[in-house]
Amino acid sequence: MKILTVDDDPVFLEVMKIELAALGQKDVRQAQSAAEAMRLVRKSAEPFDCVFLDVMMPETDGVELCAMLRREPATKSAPIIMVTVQTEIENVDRAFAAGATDYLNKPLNPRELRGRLQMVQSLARGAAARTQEASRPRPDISDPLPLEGVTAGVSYLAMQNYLLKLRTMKLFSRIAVGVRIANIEAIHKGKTASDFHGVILDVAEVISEAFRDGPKMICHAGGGDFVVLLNRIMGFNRDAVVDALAVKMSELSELYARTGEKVPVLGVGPAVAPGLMLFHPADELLTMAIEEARENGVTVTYGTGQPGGRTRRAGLGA
Amino acid sequence: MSAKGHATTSAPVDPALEAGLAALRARFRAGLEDRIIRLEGAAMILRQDAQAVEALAAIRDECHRIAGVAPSLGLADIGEIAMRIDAAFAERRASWPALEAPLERLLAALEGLLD
Repeated sequence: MKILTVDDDPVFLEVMKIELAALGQKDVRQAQSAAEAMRLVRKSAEPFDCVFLDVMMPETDGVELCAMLRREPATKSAPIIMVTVQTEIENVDRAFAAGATDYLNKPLNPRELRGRLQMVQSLARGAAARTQEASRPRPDISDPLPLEGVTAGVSYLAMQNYLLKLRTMKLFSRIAVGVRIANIEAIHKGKTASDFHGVILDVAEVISEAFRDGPKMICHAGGGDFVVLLNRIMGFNRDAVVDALAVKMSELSELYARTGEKVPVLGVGPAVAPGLMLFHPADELLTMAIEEARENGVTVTYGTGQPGGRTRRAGLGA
Repeated sequence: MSAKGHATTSAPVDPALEAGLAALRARFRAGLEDRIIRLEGAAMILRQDAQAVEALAAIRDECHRIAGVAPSLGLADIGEIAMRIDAAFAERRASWPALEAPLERLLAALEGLLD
């Protein structure tokens, strides 16, 4: 794997290098600043498979660099792992919003490092499989897809990692809302993987825009399921979101109708809060939001070019 | 390793790793004087002006780096002291002269490595 490590401490860079070498990873490029990292990335003909970024660096910090790397062809799809001491927990939100995939604690623990590399290798295998399948008429409907370019879009894995990283008190300040494309089978039928991904990106952007105060994060969880993570304090007004979705979907559906595309039918679940789930894994919040959208979702109704906005409660199961 | 802080978080598992870490410990030691001078310089400024922003930032940067790297080199005690100072900044409770005692402990531990 081709790996980039960025840290302003040259000794730590060397620690990373020899620990990665001990795990069989010899192709490691190093940078001591964001500027140096950007020069390396822009010069690189081949994409990087993984990036490790120190959070606290002078001038441009690791979180800002993460956002910059997400715009570079050589790193836009690479897992980005933030390397940080525990005291930087306040940067967790910023880093995931900027496109980070996961966190790794300083000082380096070889077991944790091995775990992150296994995750990276598994992601790389999945990406390679998707590339091979891109031209096939029947892509796998159940794969969570990345939401590159979508406002507040993160990968499903990144959202899971984010929730697992939050301390209990911070977790309680979040709520999750599931949004589902109820007719996903019909949308999926006959599409290539890239066309299907295009629909998922369109719908994700519409959902992101429909949450008035802006979602903290949104991810695609596979199939027709999305999860939106919100700040609890901002609250969640489902009727307002359904109405906003009706307006935006009517615009999108007009576009789809012109090209003969099937129009997605959306359902919005109630807000799910961590509440009494204290003893459950934090990322179970995502599963619960998806299930709630299926079982207790409200369907968004609209016609092409004219928003309906009328809602009805309906089971949105597949 | 000499006197201080020997609990390693990353027990070397192969000779190449062990040799690499030994070389890095030597490199860390070689750069210690510079780190000590930076920390002592900042402390001197803060004794004159407890609000000196740049001096406080210099202490945080240096402690942050030491906290991140020292335990990987088998210097867990030093890493722990540096981590506490860094945490005080992160939790916005770092102030002079409250920082003086832990900083003195850190400097003493670093100087011990020079012996």
